[in-house]
Amino acid sequence: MSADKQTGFKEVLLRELKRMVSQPIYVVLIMGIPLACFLFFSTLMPDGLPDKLSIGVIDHNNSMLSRNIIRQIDATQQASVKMHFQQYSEARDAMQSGKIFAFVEIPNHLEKDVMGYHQPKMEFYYNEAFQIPGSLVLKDLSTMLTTISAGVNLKTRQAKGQTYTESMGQILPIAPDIHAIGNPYVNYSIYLINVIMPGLLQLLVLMTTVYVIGVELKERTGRKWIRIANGSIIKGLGAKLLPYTITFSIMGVFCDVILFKFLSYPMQDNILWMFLASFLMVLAAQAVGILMIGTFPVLRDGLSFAGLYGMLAFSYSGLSFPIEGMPPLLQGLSYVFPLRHFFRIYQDTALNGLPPITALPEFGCLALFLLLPLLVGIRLKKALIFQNYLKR
Amino acid sequence: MNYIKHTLVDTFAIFAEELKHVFRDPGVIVLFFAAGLLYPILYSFVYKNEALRDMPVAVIDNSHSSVSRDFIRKIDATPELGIAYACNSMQEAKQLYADNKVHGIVYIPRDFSKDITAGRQTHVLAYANMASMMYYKGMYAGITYASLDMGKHIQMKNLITKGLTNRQAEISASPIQYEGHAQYNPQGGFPSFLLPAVLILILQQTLVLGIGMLAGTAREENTFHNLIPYQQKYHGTLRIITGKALAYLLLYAFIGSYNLILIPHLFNLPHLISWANLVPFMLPYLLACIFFGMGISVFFWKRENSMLLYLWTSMPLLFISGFSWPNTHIHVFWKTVSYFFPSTFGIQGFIKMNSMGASLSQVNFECTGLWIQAGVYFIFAFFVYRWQILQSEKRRIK
Repeated sequence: MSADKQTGFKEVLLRELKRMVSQPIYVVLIMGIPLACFLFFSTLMPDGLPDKLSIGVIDHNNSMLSRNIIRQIDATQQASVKMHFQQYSEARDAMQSGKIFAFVEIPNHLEKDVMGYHQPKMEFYYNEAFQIPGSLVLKDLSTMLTTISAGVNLKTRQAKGQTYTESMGQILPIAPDIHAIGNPYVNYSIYLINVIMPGLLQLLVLMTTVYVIGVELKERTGRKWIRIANGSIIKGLGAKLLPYTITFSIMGVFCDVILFKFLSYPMQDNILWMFLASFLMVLAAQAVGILMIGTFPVLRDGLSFAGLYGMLAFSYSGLSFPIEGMPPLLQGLSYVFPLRHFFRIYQDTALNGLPPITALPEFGCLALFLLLPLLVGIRLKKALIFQNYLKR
Repeated sequence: MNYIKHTLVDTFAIFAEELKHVFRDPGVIVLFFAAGLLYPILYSFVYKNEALRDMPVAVIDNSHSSVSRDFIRKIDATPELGIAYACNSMQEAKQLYADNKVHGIVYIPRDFSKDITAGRQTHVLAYANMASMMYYKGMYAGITYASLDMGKHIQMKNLITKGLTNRQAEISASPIQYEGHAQYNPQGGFPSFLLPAVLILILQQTLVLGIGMLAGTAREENTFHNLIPYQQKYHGTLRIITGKALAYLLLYAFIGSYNLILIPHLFNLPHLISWANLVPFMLPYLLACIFFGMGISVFFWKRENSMLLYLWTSMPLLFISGFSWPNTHIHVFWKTVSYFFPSTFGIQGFIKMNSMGASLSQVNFECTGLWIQAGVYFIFAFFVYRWQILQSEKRRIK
């Protein structure tokens, strides 16, 4: 039995290794593209938050107070006053052509109205079509304008003899203290890249798995492959995919090392949990790949479906839009994407630092994917042996 | 005269032949029609609910006072937050958080009511799950609003007790008012922000993948192309490129209109663009995509290669376009890289016109960029095809 196991397995493995070095496409798939993705996403947004976003002002008042307000807005972290306008339409044009992300309109009699207790109103307009810079500017402008208004209030109170502490107890009786768990600076890179990089890896594992099996169908070498594996589809698949399991797992672990060691992204737990999650996700993606090519035993069809599914995984991971916000049917569908489970493990361990047992069901879900090839094993074997590959 | 006629006849023959190739190839049909037409619908369904409403949070009320209960009601009344659980301890709240039953925790300290009565500033703690930016945004907006609103009421009440009128109190509490107006996507909806970019990207990606697949198939069938009607070399290349490009352009005039006009209407996405603005923008965009696809198809020497080697670029290309992370803050190296792809100009220009109502002259930069790309990639495609024709002729002579 054990001798039998060794024959076949080793031969298939050697045959695959020879294939891998025979054509550059293999190296591109298992190393070139993953490394390019890692490089791209780890250098795209190095600051984590875009600061000093361009905004404009329309100062109808042109007083000491209005100039002071503009200076204060300019001093905020996220906004920087880059353009001055005479009227609304000019400012709107600048926003439409993407030159500024927001603009503030200071009314005509601002200073006089403040002095005369007429409660003037400042308006600002921010661009929600570009949501990230739009909401960052919104947050800073709201805070700053609240502060400016409170500042006037404070001055009046201090003039009446109240202390600073007394005044603040009246002006802002309830001070909210909002904490972002695991990502204290609300770093956009941390939020995004922790899922996008593994997501791209998952896509590549899937496509590569479909390709290396599908190409046997296409080139009508499947029968030979199974013969070398002593007629065992399990042994054949195992030996064939093992080199990819190893190389992609190394890439997955490397991805975690980049994120949590080189970029020092928050890691509230042992990094080994993420290594395990990466490894299981590579296996799960391989299993899905087998399922795809087994269901559609034509290289072209298998790849098309793998591509469609692999890209959808990003949406269904719940990264861009939380899963509970999706229509119920789609919520259920999200379970069939390994990336969703990977993302949950990341949330539980690295981001939230919960006891690892919390992530156990998600680890279990990833492991369940490994059963998928059983559904198509026989169908795939038949396709390989009968070699009835459709040419187009 | 005869020459012009020949040119037109040849070009048309190649055009018709290429259309046949497309419709005879199920792989390309899947890409152009299934992916090009179904993907937009799939995406629109995933993001059907524009935003999260009433995100579940747990509250720990250590104050147990009527003021704290008021505050909790105020939080619950915000559109962003919903109080799902009232907990007795942080431990309990953390468990709910771990079980993913709540995405945030609000902690009201014991001295909350006492501080307020004594005129001391009190601090409320809020914790948001960072698994989604939406959780944080919701928590931030909801808690800030509830605190400021309630604070203002408390301040006014105190001022009125001191003898001020309602109006006087209101002015003292907020000497300067402000109001923010969300432009172009007033509900702050997520799909209205994401999908215009995705819709444009889908056009480029399916075109490049499909053209790559057709080229790979042609090369697998070993002669350069079986649709070269005559061996008029120099002019032949131009005719081949023009004929093929026209075939793709015709198909994508329909798929593009579907993606950029019909889908935004059907799914209530922003749709401010008019045909008069769309056509002069789509033309250079599609041409740039087509010639780019024809040019790089030289790297796809087998039919499956385009899917394997090109599909992954969708994610980087989406982010490099500046639709999310602003393009003013993208590293100059990646910004330079981004100018090689039609999608960068396409996404920026389309969002500005479709979502923000910009006119054609306001996207002059993007439009010019696309025409330059179309020109450069046309020349690129020309040399690639010319080289391929020479190669295949060499092989034929051998």
